[in-house]
Amino acid sequence: MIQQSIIENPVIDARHVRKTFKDITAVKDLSIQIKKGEFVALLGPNGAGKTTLVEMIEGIQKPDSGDILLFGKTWRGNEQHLRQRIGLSLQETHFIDKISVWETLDLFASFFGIKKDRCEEILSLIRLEEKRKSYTANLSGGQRQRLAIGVALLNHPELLLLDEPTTGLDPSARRDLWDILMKLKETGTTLILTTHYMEEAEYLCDRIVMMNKGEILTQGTLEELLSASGGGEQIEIQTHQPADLTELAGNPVFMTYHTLENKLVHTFSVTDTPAAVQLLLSKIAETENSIRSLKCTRRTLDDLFIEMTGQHLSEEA
Amino acid sequence: MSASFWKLVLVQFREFYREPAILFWSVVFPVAIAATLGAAFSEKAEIHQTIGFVGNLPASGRFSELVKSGTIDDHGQIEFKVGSAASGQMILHLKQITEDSAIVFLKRGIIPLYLSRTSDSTVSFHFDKANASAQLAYFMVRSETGQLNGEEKGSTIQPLTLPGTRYIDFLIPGLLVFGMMNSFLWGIGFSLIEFRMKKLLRRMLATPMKRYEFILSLMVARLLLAFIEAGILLTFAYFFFGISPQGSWIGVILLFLTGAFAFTGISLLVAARVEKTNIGIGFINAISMPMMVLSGIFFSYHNFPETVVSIIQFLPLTLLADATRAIFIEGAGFGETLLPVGILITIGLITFSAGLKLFKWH
Repeated sequence: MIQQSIIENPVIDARHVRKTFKDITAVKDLSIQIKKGEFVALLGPNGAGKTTLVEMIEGIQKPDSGDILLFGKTWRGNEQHLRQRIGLSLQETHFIDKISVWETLDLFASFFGIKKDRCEEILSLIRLEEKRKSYTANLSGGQRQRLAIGVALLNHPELLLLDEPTTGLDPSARRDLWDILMKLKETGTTLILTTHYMEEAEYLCDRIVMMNKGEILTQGTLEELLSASGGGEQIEIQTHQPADLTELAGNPVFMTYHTLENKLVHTFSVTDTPAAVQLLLSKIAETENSIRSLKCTRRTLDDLFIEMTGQHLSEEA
Repeated sequence: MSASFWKLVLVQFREFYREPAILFWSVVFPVAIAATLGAAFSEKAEIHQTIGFVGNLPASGRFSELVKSGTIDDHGQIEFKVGSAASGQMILHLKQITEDSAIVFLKRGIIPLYLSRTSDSTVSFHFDKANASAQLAYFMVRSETGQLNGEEKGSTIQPLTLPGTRYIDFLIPGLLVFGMMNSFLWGIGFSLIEFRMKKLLRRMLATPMKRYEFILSLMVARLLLAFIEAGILLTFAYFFFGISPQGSWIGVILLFLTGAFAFTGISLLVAARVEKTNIGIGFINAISMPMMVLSGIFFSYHNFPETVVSIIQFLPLTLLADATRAIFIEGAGFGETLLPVGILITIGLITFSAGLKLFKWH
């Protein structure tokens, strides 16, 4: 795992946090620090404990043990103060069906004691000006999610926590939402988002925290994560006959090697793709075997996740 | 039909029986209600009905003979059977009272009609011809007295159409409080459950919103709406039937406010833990349906067995309906509303604090 250096005055400082539901440990002795202005993605499959962690940070759930400090303060006794400084969106947000977009913003603004001008700003930021009079029930999934982000941003939060903001959205709606969030980078807002889309984590975030079964598997920037576990590229070959290529794995060009049980599909992460391909071809040529297919790809977080857990990010934990 | 059609049907069935709560409300609950009410009211095959008699009983004549055929019941009233085994029998209990109390009993629905003596051998019937149970009692008595000696002479009908004795006079105050109850149970109870189910409650609590303001806003909004609804009903009742409170207006408003408080408490308690609206519907119906039937909104509860009546009288809707009706048709004053108001406030305080204590915000 890549160790994070100690951060001074972190926006979020969670130490040895633990949470159990009946017979499932959702979060196991987890510690994380996040500094001001950082965009952090919690990436992991369903059931990894992302939502539980985020909701504990949000003060919606209480940890069984451990401490969570926001801006150096605990939730106990500081609830009103912290609520003013953070913004959030829950995993699924439904608003009141027969209440319009504008009325929804206006209602939530009133909870923070915010003037109507801010609602106008938000409306244009989330590009729902034309939908201001539409009932929330009549919005599309993407529009509803933009409204949820708009509500989260009403109080100029210093810390924004979004739980799966783009799950279930089509690629263009997802892209729209990313644009809104990228604009926040300039304002110094700190962002935590949970997702099981690696592209989202890659595109938006400075730091990616991979979670599985209530624990942090590894964390760092995309480059750090990929290079620490073997280069940024990988080769996948399929052979007609089963082949034993373990010998090749000793060569420094090959960082990691995986093969399926049938020994027909072989995956290598490599440092130098052309050199690796040549080595592979000559190795296969020595035998009577031949190649069915050969694929060179850039390694992804999903590949990394499979290597570490044997599962895809999109699978249930 | 394709296989997928039947699979879809099966899905519906599975959804139904895999949700224990739905199973309870839709299968067990109606059976339990039927069993309870059935057991409570089916012990006697005959229908019992109390009727009034003003003045002395006639000494001779068919009615006199009918009365003489009767026996004395537990309350010292004369009871006698009318009708036949084939047409169904009715046991009438004769309450001997003054004319003033006969009017009050009529208004309260304790008796549907009363008789008075017109001569030594004849009686006259006083009732509202629009009241079906009064009609029934009248024809049952007439069938009995007619059988004895052909058409009875000298017997007359005195129609009662004075405000306060008509069925509509009985109905309006009941509808007024019944509407209010439903408005609160659904408007507050159901809304809260829906807010919780949609995670809106959770979302709003993640803002600096004050919890008491949220509960209060539901209560105030509902109260305003209930006043408007009641206003519309009362305006209609006034212009079409000439109905208005004969007694204390302040009493009516006080009852309405305390009733609103009691039903807010009940709604809060109902919604305290329920997570799904379809289960919430069951809970709310379980509270409103029995009161709709038992609390004397559409028909008097005085024909229920006495043990049941003694419980019914303390249901919040009964307290409200009886006290409001007393102001509307008997002209009851402010002082007479204080006891029901006190009980309603107590019910409100208990349910409100229990509801808040149990309430699941997240």
